[in-house]
Amino acid sequence: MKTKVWLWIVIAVVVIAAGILVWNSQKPTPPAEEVAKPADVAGFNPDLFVYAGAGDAETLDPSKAYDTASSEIIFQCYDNLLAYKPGSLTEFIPMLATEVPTVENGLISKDGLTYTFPIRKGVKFHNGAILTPEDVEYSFERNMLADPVGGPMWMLLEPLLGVGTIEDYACQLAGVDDFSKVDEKNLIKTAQAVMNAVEVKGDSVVFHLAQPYPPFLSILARNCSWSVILNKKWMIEHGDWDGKAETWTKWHNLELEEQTLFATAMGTGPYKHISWNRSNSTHTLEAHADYWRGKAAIKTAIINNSVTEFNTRKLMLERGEADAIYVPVENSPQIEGTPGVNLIRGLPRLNNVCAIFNQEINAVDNEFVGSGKLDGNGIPPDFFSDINIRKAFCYAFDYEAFINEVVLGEASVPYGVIPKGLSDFFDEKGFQYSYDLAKAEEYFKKAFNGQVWEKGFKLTLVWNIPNTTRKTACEILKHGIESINPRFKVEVQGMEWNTMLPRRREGRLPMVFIGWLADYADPHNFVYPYLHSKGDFMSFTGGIGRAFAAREFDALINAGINETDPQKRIAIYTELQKKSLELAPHLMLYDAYDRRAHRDYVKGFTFDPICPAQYDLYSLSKSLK
Amino acid sequence: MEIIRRLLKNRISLFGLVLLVFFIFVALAAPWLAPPKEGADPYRIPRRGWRLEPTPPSREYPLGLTQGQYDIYYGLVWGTRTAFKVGIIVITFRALIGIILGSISAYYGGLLDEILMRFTDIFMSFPYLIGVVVFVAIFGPGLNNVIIPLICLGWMPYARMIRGNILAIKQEEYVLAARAIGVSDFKIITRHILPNAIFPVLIQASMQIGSIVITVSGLSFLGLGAPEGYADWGQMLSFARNWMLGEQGNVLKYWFTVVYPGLTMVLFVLAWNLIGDAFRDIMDPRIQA
Amino acid sequence: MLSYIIRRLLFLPLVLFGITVLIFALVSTLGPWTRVATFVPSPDAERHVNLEAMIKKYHLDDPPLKMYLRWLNNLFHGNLGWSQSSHMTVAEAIGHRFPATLELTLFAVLPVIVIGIILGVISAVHHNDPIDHSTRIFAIVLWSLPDFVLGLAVLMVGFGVLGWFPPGRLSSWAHLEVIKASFRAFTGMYTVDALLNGRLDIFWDALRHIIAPVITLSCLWWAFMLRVTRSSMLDVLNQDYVRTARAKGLAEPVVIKKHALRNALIPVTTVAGNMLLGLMGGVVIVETVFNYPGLGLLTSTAATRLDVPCVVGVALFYAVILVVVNLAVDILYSVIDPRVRLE
Repeated sequence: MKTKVWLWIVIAVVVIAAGILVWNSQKPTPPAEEVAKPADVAGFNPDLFVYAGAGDAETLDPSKAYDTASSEIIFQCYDNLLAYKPGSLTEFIPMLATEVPTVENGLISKDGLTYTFPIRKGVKFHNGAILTPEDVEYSFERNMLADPVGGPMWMLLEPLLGVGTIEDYACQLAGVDDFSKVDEKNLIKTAQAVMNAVEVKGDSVVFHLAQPYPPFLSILARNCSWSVILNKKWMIEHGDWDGKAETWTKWHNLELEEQTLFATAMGTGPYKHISWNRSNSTHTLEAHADYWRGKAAIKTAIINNSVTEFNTRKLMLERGEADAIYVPVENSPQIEGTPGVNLIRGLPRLNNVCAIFNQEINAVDNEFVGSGKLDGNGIPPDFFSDINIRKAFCYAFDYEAFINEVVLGEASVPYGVIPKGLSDFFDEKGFQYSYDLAKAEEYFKKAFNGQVWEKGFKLTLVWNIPNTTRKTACEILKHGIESINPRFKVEVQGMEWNTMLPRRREGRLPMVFIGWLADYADPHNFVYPYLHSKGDFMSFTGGIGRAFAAREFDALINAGINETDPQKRIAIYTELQKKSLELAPHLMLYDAYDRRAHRDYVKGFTFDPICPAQYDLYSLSKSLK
Repeated sequence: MEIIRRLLKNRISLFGLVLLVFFIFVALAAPWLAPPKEGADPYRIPRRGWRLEPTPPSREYPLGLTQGQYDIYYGLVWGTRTAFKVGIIVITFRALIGIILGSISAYYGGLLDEILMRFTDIFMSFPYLIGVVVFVAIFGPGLNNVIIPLICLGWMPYARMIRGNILAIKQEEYVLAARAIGVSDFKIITRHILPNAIFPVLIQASMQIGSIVITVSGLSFLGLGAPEGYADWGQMLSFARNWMLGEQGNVLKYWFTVVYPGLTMVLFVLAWNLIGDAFRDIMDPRIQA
Repeated sequence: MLSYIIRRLLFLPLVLFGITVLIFALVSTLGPWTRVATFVPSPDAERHVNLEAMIKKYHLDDPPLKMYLRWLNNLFHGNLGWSQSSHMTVAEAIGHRFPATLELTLFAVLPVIVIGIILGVISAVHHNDPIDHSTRIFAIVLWSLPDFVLGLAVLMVGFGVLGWFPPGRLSSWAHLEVIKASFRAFTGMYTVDALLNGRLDIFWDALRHIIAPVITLSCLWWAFMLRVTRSSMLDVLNQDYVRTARAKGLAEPVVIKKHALRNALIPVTTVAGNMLLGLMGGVVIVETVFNYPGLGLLTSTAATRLDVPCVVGVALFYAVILVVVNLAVDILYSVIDPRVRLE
């Protein structure tokens, strides 16, 4: 018993001592170092910016990064040759180049095939090295040769070499169908072709295009993570490609984690990448002291992408634990009116969402098409190849209800496949669909010579879990269609992405709900995937759909990309917008808007529709005034 | 009968019983309490709009509309059926598998026992959550795909319990006697051993119906349960996750999204737990103060 | 006893083998087109992706047996594989996440045991009177609450209203301190590391972050502990030797402390072991609510993205812990209760 009492006394003393220690430590004892002061305990630290989001970067390697979270970090750490002029999507300002090439200043050749960029002098990398034209040349060559599967490099390979992947190019050279069969000689030739496409000439870097390509400057501009400028010497020192034509295959199509820049960054950008804590998806960035445009106002930034619960993010913003958070469209009312918080809504981003009509459904053992026949219990495989059906569907979607109730005004009715954010490139007075059940009925009656109206149909719409916004879109469409005729039946089913992928691929889904976010600010980046017979979205429409696209759209799209006169391009894209609604290859659901929520002491935010990052940290500052 | 008499005598367990009877009534009377639309799947909660923000109770919708304008009242009524269904199916199959494997293992002993028990150990070492998540990831979300892994990864305690009970009973004289006079194995197991070993297991099992509902609701929170819009309490409660704290100045703005589904679920589980607790006291002959 | 321990440990590889076979068997029902989805983050990200090349690159069309053997081969070379969902190797991922979960669990165990046992004893001693009823009802109500509801409520009140217990593991200033080279990570548990580095400010910050999840986790298990202690205590109080002690005229507190409690705690030991495992397995929801990146979150993201190497790795890790803890409980049990013999 005695020993026990002693034990308890000892424990009590320890606990009390610990308590006192803890209690004391939270009192503001004069800190030894100013830096170590826990500044946000007081609530406000002008040097630190904290962003809370959801969904971490996949990689920081520019040759592979192709998601917003990755580009967001790359954006802060690197510079490009050019940037968009603030507020414009058609004009540029120089960054690491000292001049924007135009035909007038002679930096773009008359035939549109040669672009020359004089390189800025005295720009310092994060490690203090000075930028040279060789760095620029190396950056593009390295990324194009690395070209890992699923990366963004097609965007540069297409204008520079006229191919989609570097492997395709090698195969074409060697005349074989598989990259593993390409011989040594042709491999070297492939690298040489890449190295000839980007060359150093004195203080400039010259690009030789395989074809005229009006959006080429957009593909190089700031916001494009695939055309950022790397540090050649540093890269080679860290085991990356040595710049020789003979060796490139060693660095080609590497695993994500084998790439030099997978988890680190070395650029000339305004921020140094200090750490990527991958277990809590947090990136720490520090202002680059020798940045060529001057040091950033925010000294340290923490991008915390681990906060998946909106509720938690909201509380963090309310309590000042985060300076800015990611707000999904449906949740903005919960932020609205919070004291001390600015909610900026209705920012037109280059993003739209559609439902693709599969014109030739793979009906073998297909659970989504009912009986697979036009007998009232299903739909035939070519159901959507009838334009009347497609138009009827377009009239049966309640755009207003969706925009007002689901996304709370943060979207607009599309003018076609090019979103409103790119209205510089088309005439905005065109046709738009509206919710009109009378018209829908009229088209349904015409479809399949009236058989659809008589017999009715049944099909299943599939949405990808957890995107409930799309689920509601499906339900609104279902509601519209079913209220036209009691014989029309629409089921709505949710599916995990991994279950959906094979079904989508095999062409089983009657309609594919999907969105497109711009890679670069040019209408070509929308019309090609949406309408071209080889585009990503047309690949979901079956053989009939692709043939239809080839017939109706391909020529016009090619005309658009080969035309260098801006006025003529506007005419072409206005025509494509009109046709894309008239022929209704897709049900264009909405053009999405974006929003930002940050503490009111965050100053300097400007919206750039093409910027991959929610905030351009360089333009921000924090001030209580 | 003695048990029921004593359950009724105890005020706490009586409360549990009354609650349970109430829930059974609601489940049975669902089509009258909340008539579904003609031809529609009754388990799909009707939506009264497309807006995400919940709508407070009104005369038309007495308990309000939760996130996505799903009718809370309708969801709770039909969700009662879901709760019973899930609980009973999971528990029945768990107990069934456990009883079969446990009794075979105990009765035959030897190598078979060893193999079966190691088999049980492997399943025991399998973290159930990983099991459920993997299963759902592979076969898609939905109640069935939650129920199956919950059964597969939950029968082990019953097998062990029944094995222990049988091992004890096996040595009782009446079993030895039956075997001596040549009664068949099957008969001995079903007639003599099981009835004496099984009862405590069944009681234990049925009392877990409540906690199954909690487990499933946790899975709903992780997005693994019923498809969105299905009448399921867990899902209705997880709809409330973003609305527990209303706006500043009006913190309790969306109270109905939490309180009604939360209360319903707590009462349901409470009912089972109260009865279970009382049962345990009654069944244990040593605790009779 | 030694032979028992050896036997149990020898059995471990068998369990692990069984688990890997189970998971691979489940996964083998998937086709390459389902598996490739792991490498494409979302439906809208499948753009300009040559999925065939992707399948070839990651050998997704290999027959299941070949995949399993390749994985096994890697395992024997000490390589658990790459976790696509957490952007690091599986071993690294577990190494980073496990300390977080362990820290949480350790903090939760103490209050659970102390409070649970005290309440349980009180309830048993006052069997069937108002105190017993109210503690029991309290326990049952806690036990009837879904953990995410409780967790959200604690978050709302503790952080939203009072501002005391922020989510995450550290505040941003502490995060900046911790990633400095001068801060040495010994255990990965921030409270412990902070003390070892002599940084009380960071210790306090880490503690502030861990309190809310600990409260949530332990609330549910108090109730459980209370029930177990209560019934075990009731059992003991009716034993002959306790009656004898009472009959001898010993004061009730002495009877309870000296005679009853020790024996009543024997079954509680087993439960404590189970509880430790239950706590670790059940943290996923608490981790989600409080944005606390531990093993539970790792598991659920990995499984939803069908990140097979990571799922298998974590399952194996859990199994090892499970077997070891169970063994430890058995040994402890036999030490406390001489009637139990390990064989």
